[in-house]
Amino acid sequence: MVLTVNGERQEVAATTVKALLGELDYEGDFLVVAVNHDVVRRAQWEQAKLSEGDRVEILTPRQGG
Amino acid sequence: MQLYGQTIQSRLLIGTALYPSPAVMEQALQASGAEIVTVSLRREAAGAKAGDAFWRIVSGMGAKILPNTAGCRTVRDAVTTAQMARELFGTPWIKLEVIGDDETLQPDVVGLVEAAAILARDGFQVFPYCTEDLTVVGRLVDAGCEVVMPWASPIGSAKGIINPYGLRTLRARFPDVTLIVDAGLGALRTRPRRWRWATTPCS
Repeated sequence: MVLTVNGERQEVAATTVKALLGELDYEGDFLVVAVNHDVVRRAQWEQAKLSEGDRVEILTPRQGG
Repeated sequence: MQLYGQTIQSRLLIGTALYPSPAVMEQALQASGAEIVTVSLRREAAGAKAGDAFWRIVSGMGAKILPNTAGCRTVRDAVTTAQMARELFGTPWIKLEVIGDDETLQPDVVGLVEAAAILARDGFQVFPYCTEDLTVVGRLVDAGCEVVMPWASPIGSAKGIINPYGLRTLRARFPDVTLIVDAGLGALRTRPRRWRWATTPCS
């Protein structure tokens, strides 16, 4: 399945948010995820299904402002 | 000063950008006495865990976090980033930035008003970064903003307050709104008189 992850096209096997984070080696307590502009709460990562063409944003706290 | 019903003793908000090292940032945050620290959300690189180290420093300060939507150029991106910030930081506060010009980072005030209205309806307590335009600030207040953050001058320009009349007019016309003068103030040692002026209008 092809997704756009943080603006980059990625071909992945994962079909859920949690599996995607594992497949792409995202770890940490301070990640937040949105799929097609909808926030996916951490408690829903395991159930949140991904579909072909989804746009996934994975953000983290950073310096700024 | 009052920020959405919360009393804050320090009138200084401190940012987290452009420090030479995490250690210097941590020392500056502690030395400032500021009770509010602004923090961005940015895309994380796979395997980087870059946000964890930064966040452990900031969260360890015990300060209130004011997340921002820095870097957003559309209403939709700003709203999504605000919602992601609320999920991550657990606060309804959001410093709303919608950038309209890449060179000066001037706010897109049309998009800003639209995004502020959306977020206020969604329960956010919005701190919009705006120009000193009277009408724009009026629209932001109408949208539900109890705090506005008019610029002194463009971000990073260090030009100080380019329109004192405009800021004084905002203070006079919106006496119940907390004004936080943001951006372009320059270094304290080079503009002490302007800095003092800038801090006094905050309510």
